[in-house]
Amino acid sequence: MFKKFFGWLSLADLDAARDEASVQIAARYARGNIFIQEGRVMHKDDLARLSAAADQAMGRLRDALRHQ
Amino acid sequence: MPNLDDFRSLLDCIHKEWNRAEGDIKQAEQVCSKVIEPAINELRYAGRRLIDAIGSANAEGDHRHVESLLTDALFDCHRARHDAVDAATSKIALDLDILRDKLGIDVVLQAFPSFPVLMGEVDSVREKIVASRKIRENRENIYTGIEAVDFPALVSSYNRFKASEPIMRELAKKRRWERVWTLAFGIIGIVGTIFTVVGWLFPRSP
Repeated sequence: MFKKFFGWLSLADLDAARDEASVQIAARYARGNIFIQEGRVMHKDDLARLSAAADQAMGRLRDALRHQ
Repeated sequence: MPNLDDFRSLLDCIHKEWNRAEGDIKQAEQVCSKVIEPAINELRYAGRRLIDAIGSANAEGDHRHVESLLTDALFDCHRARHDAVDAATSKIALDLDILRDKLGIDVVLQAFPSFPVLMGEVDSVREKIVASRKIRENRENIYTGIEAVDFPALVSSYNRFKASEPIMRELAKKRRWERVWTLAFGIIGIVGTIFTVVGWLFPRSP
């Protein structure tokens, strides 16, 4: 509980949410030598998952701006 | 006998579209910190179609067949660009949503007043992408709509937004501390009031 509270105070919850979002979009490593982006590759199903999550995020953002 | 000179305008379109797709893929990679494989694959297919078209023209193939291969190559370039824009705008939308959720829309607007403009730009592209998934028969027209998007300008708006993130973080920290102090003083006030009332109701006997 204390850890959560101090995490909230220091904005560690923001970084954790970002890490969680990037874990949801699987970071796979390419076979062979790919030097760009440290060998991390977004495959077709990862793109589909990212795109679906973005559609939901846009809905929440629209609502937030409407209520502002 | 087909001659590649007959397809000069189509080849010119492929050249321009390939360059745009490459540029967008690079931008998308920077936004997502990942290689966007579906977009790369579309360019690979476009390359295959081009080689087939050259082969067919050299082998004195059918004029229509060469034209159809080149049209496919152009469409593959469109799709490559579409995948790159899809990946980058998705990542941008998620980032905006996480910041709004964790820091609060008021903090975001205070540090970056053009947030609604940026959101409007992302929203317009996302709507076109969603529509392109639903209306498959009208896909080519929708792709043309997405191609009209000034993607580098959108990425540069997003980079400006990211540049104001340290200000957002400071504002959010300040607000959180204010909430803690308000809560602490509120609790002290309530406890003080309870003690005063109890002392008043049950006075100590001398």
